Amino acid sequence: MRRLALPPSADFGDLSHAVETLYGRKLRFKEIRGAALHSTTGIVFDAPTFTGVMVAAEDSKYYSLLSRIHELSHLIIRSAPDDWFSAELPRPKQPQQQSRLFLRLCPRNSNETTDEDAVREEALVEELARALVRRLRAFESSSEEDHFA
Amino acid sequence: MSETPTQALHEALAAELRAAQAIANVNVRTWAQEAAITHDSIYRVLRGVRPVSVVELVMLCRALEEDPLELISRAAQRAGQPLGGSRKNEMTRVNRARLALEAAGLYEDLDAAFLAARAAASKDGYLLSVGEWDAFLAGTSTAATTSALGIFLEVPGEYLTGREDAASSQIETQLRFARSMHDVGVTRLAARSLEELQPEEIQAVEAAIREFIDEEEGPEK
Repeated sequence: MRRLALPPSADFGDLSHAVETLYGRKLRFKEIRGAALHSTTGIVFDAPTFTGVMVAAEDSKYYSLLSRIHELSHLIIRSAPDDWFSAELPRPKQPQQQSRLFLRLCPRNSNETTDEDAVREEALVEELARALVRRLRAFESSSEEDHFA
Repeated sequence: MSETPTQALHEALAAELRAAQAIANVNVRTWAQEAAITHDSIYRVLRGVRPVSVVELVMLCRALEEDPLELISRAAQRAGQPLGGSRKNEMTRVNRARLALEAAGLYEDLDAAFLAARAAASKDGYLLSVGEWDAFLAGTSTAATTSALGIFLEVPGEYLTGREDAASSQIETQLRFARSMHDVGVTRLAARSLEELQPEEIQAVEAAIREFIDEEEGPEK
């Protein structure tokens, strides 16, 4: 997380900007209404000129933020330089960028990535996302406590 | 474990006979007497251990006052091989082959698609001929070809054979979604577990993404 070089009082905008730099694409966020996403945290897609991140509009403010950061964490893990990882903490295996699987709904159960890889990536992403939420000042001492109160 | 079309039909016939017996509320001994078939033979047919002959099927149906043709038709439907609809099945297969290719972004250049498919199939030990590729596009390819191309297109082979069931419906929804995303220039999309969504929910997601892109990039030309 230190390698993202966030300012001391970073907010979501700072994190988003850091991920834009890392991923190399303009990021845009939007809430999706009227579609129950069930266990899907969010949707990330590369449109011609930007990368869109969509999360459920019905979620609480806290979960909405957590979901957006969760999706950003996927992008961090996908685009971070190799030296951010190590033998102890390897980058989870992911489908090739040019794979058609990226246009299918779920890259699990393919011959390019297994359930085990997917679960490992989700665990790593969720851990990173929660650490980042704690790092951001916006929810430092209020909304997370309100949410879980 | 995968089963052959023949096995599927045998099992479907057995299932339909069991259902007809249950509806008629007749035990096997009585049924055997009425149909003039040994009860042991009937048991084996009902368990799918032994194929039922045409004559036996007619006798068994008559004993239950069941129309044998209707029972066969239901069994064929159950086995995913509906009768009297070969032309319809061909059209379904044509449409599904096209949709799977469009969803994979391969339909615009079918020559390139063939070369890619042949290269992929050969890695699995299947030699895809031009004739079989054309048959695939015309909805008349063999089971071996649809199976090999199913792997290549990341679509279950059963879907490409025109099978009508809930799973095929769900796959169709996903492929339409993927095609739609291709149409608006989306080159990558990640969302785990979306396959659990109902068709109307996936359509809502698709509409939301299209609206999002319109807002950012302007409406599609």
